[in-house]
Amino acid sequence: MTGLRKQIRLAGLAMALAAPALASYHYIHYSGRTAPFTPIYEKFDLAALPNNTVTFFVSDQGPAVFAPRDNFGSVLSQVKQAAAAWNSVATSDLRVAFGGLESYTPNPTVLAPGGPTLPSSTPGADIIFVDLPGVLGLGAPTTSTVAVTPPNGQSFFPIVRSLVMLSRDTTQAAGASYLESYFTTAIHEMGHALGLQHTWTGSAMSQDKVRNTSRARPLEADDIAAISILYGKPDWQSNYGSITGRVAFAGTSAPVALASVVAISASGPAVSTLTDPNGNYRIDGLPLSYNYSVYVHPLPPGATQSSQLRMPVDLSFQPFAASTPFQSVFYPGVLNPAQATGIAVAAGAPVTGINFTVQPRGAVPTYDVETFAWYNSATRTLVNGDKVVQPAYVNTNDLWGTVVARALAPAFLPNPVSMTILGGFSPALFNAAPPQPYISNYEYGTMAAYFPMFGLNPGPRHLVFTFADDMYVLPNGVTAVRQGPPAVRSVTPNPDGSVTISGAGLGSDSVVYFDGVPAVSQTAVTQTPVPGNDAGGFLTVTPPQGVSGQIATITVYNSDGQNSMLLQADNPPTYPYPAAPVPAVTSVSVTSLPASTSAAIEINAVNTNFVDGQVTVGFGTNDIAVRRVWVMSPTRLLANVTVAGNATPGASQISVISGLAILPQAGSFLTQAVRAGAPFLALPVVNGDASRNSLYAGSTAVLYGQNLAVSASAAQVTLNDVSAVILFANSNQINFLVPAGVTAGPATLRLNTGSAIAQPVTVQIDNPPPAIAAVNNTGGALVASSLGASVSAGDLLNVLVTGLDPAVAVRARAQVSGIEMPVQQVVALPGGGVQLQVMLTQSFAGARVPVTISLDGSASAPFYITVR
Amino acid sequence: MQIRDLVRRPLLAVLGIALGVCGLQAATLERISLEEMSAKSTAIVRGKVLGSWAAFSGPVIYTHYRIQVTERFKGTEQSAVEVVVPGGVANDLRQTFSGTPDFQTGDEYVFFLWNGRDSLTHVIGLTQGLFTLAKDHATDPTVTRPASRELMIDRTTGQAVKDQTLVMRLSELRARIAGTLGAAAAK
Repeated sequence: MTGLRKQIRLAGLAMALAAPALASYHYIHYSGRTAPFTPIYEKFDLAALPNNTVTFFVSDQGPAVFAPRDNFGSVLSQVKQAAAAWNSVATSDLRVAFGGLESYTPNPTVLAPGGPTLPSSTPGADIIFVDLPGVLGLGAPTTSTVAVTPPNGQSFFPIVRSLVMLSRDTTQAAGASYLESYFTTAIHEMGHALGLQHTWTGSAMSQDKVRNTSRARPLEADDIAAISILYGKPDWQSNYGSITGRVAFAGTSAPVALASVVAISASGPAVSTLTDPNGNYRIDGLPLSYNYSVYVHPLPPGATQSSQLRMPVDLSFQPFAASTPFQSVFYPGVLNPAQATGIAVAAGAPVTGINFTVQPRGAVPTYDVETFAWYNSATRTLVNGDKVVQPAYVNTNDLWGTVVARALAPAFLPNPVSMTILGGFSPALFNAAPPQPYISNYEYGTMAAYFPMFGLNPGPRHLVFTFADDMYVLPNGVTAVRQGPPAVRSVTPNPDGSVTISGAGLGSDSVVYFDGVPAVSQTAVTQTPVPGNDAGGFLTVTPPQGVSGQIATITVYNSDGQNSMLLQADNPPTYPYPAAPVPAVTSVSVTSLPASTSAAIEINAVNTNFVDGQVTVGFGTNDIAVRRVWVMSPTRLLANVTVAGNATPGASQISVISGLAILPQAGSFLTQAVRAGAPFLALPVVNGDASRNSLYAGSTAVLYGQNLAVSASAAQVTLNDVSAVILFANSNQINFLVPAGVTAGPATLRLNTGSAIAQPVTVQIDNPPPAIAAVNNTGGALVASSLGASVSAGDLLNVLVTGLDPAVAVRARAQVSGIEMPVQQVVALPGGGVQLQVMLTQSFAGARVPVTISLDGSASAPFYITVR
Repeated sequence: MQIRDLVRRPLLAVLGIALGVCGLQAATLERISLEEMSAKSTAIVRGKVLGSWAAFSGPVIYTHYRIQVTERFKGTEQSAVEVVVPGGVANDLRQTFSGTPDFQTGDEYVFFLWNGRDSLTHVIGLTQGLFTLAKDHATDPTVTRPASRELMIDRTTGQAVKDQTLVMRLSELRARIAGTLGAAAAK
């Protein structure tokens, strides 16, 4: 790096550090009632979590009443997938996991109140089911009233436990758990449990009436920024932009407290924050490569009620009030989005001085606007529709697109002067006429806007409603697509247990779900009668493990955010699972451990079909962390567990969940009191080379822990009973060479400390990992995020990999930010190397995310791309 | 064909499809009518808040309110009752649930109460089963049940609905409760 470039970078970093951290959509305390206002957040203490992981458990006292065809296995799978969505945030140090079932008091009384039968000492989260007439759901974090200040860190109030209480009747609230809305609701509620509040950007944390997330787009940039502000990796902001400024009333220059400020990009994300009581704001986590407009709007009436936002409080828990309503404007004080100043952001260096002066108003005229469109269920087009969809869709292949909008009562949508899809398109004007875009009254308080589709690219698009002296922005208010939603025509079981799905709108990005759980595997789609015409197609899938006789609802999800339920919710296709013997756990190798112990546990079962990625093993308490599960066969599992040093002694429930099947009576596990001086192996065992994320023959492994070795010469380590050469050993660390004779796969590590024999643990030994040489789009262009390139959900990536034997490359797996993506083609390249064609089935909202390629668990170093 | 014909459909008639699956907010309520509350309640009393304390019950912190009963509409005779509301501060820990009532000592209400499986006495529907008595010392005071601002769903339609503020004289409330209970007893 040149001296000049280094100086510029350091200056940018200094600016970033000097800028005050301001308000956002979090649970915030301020230390005083006068400036400066430095937020004290409520959040989980990473230092108190095993492996930085907060684990959600679900009460085994599940719902008593289910919606038709709904089942507990599907409920659990949605919790698991929602946890995976939050876990996929690459810029966050917080990991999120689903821990299975926990035992709850079946019939609580005053003397034995409802609760986990073994309370844990480790922070975590519970989802429980309750009977309270008139209440369908409640949620709250349980937060310490005493702030903690980590070394060299900001003070915060630690969340010690989060709680979501749901009605024991699933016929209401979010509806049947196989619906997409249950999944997006689970993500939303988990966000609250992690320390996030509501926003108004159409993101996962927005209330359902303005939310526009899906399985294909589970989190938005706003969500990613919000969670990263709480739990971001130390350098997370170095790859994102920031904008700061102040909002004040015209005339008096009085600060506008708790105004919502949003940075919005025409074809990209919307990221928001709130001003502090002094009117200052800072928006962090802005993906690069976008040009942003910034607007400010008042919180809608009722937003300051606890149901929508808990206002910031002081240390006495006295709230700060939001300022009175004001006129919404784009920077620099304009109503017309075309006149808004475009702001380019740079990595790690905030754009400052984006200040607003706003006019006071007597009330907030427009809020809670919803959009709609109608699909024709026969033709899958938006012509002569009979099925309402919300938010609205428009088809970029149509000449015109229609967006119907109205405000949810008690809000009312006045007649706008214009409606605009951001991105340089002509606004629709009220009472204009074709061929100009125009708006007309549709019903009382309801507008229909008609836009030419020429030049509109697919994806979520933002709407701006402009009134005579105000405006309203609805981020992600409409989704542009290239085709109609998928529709399933037939579901045909095959003799080999697979299922053939036929229908329309099936493509290489289609994913088939059975009661909310993705198929284990699926073939490529064959289009008939004409290749390229999506009116008819079929593919064959392997269903996830289900329950004998279960009637599973089939849903096909496409990467454009549409799914077959848009057209088929009234009569969805189903698959009857064949009669089968009841799966059962037959043995668990270890059923008790003392606190401060790690161990490998083998679980054997009958009548199961364990598949990697679709199995959850839990031990019923946050004090026992399942560090990894290996599927050894359809009926055999290995799990590495760690019992926390401060674990509460007692019995907890072992749960094994495979697909949609909850294995009954997996047994109970006994946590014993800690044994002083006993060895503790901190998992995982890691490569001594920090740039390598796997162990392989010849590599140096590092085992951390306590009481590991009496002396360097006394300690003995074996892997699959092959002695390992110890390079270094003391009580807290052992470095050893992975023996040359150890083959790839899970290996048993045994440690003799010289005075005690530790419980064996499993260590994953891999082949030397493959390396990603390049990630290209199908046009052959490199799409590294460092080049400013980006890709979108539904795109195909050509990943060029070295160090991968072409003979076994079909076993290679691709992950983007921890989410599995289908490898659709494997091509051996002349001169060495392999090209994997990978389908991006979901969006990451413009975030910079890692791509990894793994073979039998041995993962490459990450290659970073930006996925819109 | 006119462009507007592309979408001309009775919007209000079909909104239920979209809203029937609306997501759970910080609190989500099921709308229950006065008559349903009267029937489902295990006790209905008029009383004054004497004081409060908070404690964990399993994973939930409940604030326990001691209520001096001045009139009984339903349930067994008792001079005082202890009502719990989710949320509060106990053991240096705080839980804040949205949509829960915050009683002040000395305030007077009519409570629609329900004894749960946990043997605690709850207000039905968070604030739905709570009528505030006007402090006007009238012999027949006004009772008010403010509309809840939480997301509320109608059980029969599955649609989100807007709650309504209920205002009436205590005598009318007394009569409507008695009417519901009388009708139930006659069946």
